Amino acid sequence: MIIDIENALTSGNCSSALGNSKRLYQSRYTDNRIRMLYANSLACKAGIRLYEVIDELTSFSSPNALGQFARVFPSAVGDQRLESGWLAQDALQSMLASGSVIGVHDQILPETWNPGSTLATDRTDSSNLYGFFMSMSVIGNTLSRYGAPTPVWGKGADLIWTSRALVQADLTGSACGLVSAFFNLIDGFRRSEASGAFGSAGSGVKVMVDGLDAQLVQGGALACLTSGGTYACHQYYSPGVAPSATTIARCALAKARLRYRGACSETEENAVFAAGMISCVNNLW
Amino acid sequence: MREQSLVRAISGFFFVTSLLFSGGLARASQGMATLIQMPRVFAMGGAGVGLADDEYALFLNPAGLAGQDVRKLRILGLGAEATMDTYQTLSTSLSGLKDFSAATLNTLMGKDIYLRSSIVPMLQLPKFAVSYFGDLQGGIEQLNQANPNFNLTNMVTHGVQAGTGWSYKKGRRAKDEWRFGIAGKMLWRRGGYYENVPFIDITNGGQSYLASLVGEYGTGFGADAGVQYVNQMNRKEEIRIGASVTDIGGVAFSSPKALRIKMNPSVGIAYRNQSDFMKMKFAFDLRNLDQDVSFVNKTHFGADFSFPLLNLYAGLNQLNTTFGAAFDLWILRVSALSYAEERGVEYRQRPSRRYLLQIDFSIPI
Repeated sequence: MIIDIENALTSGNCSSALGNSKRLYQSRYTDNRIRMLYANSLACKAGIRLYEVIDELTSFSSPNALGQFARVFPSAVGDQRLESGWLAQDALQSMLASGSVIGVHDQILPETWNPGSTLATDRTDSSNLYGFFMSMSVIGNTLSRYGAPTPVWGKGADLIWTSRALVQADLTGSACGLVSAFFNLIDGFRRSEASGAFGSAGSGVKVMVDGLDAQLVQGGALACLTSGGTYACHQYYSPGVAPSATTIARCALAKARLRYRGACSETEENAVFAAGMISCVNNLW
Repeated sequence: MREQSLVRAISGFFFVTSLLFSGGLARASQGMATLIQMPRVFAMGGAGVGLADDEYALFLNPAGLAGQDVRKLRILGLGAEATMDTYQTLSTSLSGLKDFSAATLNTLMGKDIYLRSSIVPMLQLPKFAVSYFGDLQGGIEQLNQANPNFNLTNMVTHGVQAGTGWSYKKGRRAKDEWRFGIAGKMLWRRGGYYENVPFIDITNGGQSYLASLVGEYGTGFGADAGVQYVNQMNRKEEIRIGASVTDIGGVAFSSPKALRIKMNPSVGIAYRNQSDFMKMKFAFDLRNLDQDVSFVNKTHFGADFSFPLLNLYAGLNQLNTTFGAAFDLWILRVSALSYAEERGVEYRQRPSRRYLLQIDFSIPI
């Protein structure tokens, strides 16, 4: 069946590849090769052809990276591209390196055949590298679907999930999926860059990733807190007051946990942190 | 009495076959993976273990050497082989290079690019043969548009193989005969077949990565053994049944990166009919019996229609059609054929259609 899946992925028969790989993925026969093939089948469904993505990546103009994501990975409600990207992320996060021991707080979907880890260091190099591309897809799909891009790929409408309540009320999972994709994009790049996977192309991509890291992730925890005032993590607990050590620790846990796209419903601080990051996305795009 | 021996032999063929089918190893992709190119065998659907009546008995079933009574030196046996995709892709790729981007590589997606060349000089004496051979294989196949990876072939093998056969029959006028044969080989090999190599490894590592993948030459030793039962039904008809195990126990090389040769137990049955103006030969083999692949992928069926100066071949290799012809012009023999072999584990999962041209110069000694 593995050869059939590979053949289907080669010819672009995404439905056949997805049908066969899903059966193996959701069974006791799953392993890292099956997980990767399942992620590839979902990527195929999301319209990803990796060589074309690489061509697009090399032509990115960094000032509007988010707009470029939306351009390269368009999506509309009902096309299942975004949903495919989420599931691919789940599969990639379950590709654990040999000998990994996953702490309780880092586990993802532990009751399934494919338990994962929020820590990129627990995962294989190939999953981190492919996760980098899939994260771009999820970000682009989300922004394209909910940000109403302008003809020149600027932001047409703010993303609405800018408070804890709105994040937790988002039953589609798009808000938390977007935030986890940013984290996984950054993680995927950092790990892959360390292993030399990006080669000479890495410096250009690094500028983009560093920018997102500084302006979204760190901003989600700090800048949005002080400037925006309302929705960042520790201000949620103590408005106008310097955060306590406990609050800072809880925010750090939230930051680590948000690699999992279902984390926003786990704790309130996770949702607050996500809302802060989405506020920053609105500011940045 | 003679019919009884024939029935016993045929029953034995099917009994041995059923026993061999009772076991299985891990499921894995398996082509014919022959040590050298054998034009007649390839054109006859890969069948030849039961027939084993030409010089390639040395490589398929050394028991066939017991029936060999020629003295011949093949100075050169030069073969060249390629897939149809190799030629077609070359032309499309050259046009694609004019406006190259990473997406240009998608033109190679799913293309089966494969080249093989070999040279097989051989000395044949009654009941004995010795051959030097060199075999070069290269190939690339790109899979999976969503996350490209490569199946690579990069293998060079050369070595020396010698074999002998002897026969036993009850009296000079007996119509049936048992033949036995053994062969030994010393091989040098570098490289092998590599599956699912990530594109990022190739694009980043380039030639140094490929060099590390292939490694250095390694030395290996192997042995083959075979048995053949020949029943001369009448002056024109003959039944042959054979069994062989090539590379007994597998051949491992001193370089760990050189592809190990798997043991190949095989059985075959053949029928020969000689009329006034032509010879007909039909052969059926079951090969790679201990591999856990589908039954179809073990089947090899072929026919050889032999006229003066010309041989026509046809067959089914793992149920893929094969065909070819060979012309004899004194010391020169030219063979041209097409065959397809299955690289997957199921019928027509990943077939590879190939075309082979071989030129042999042989002189009687």
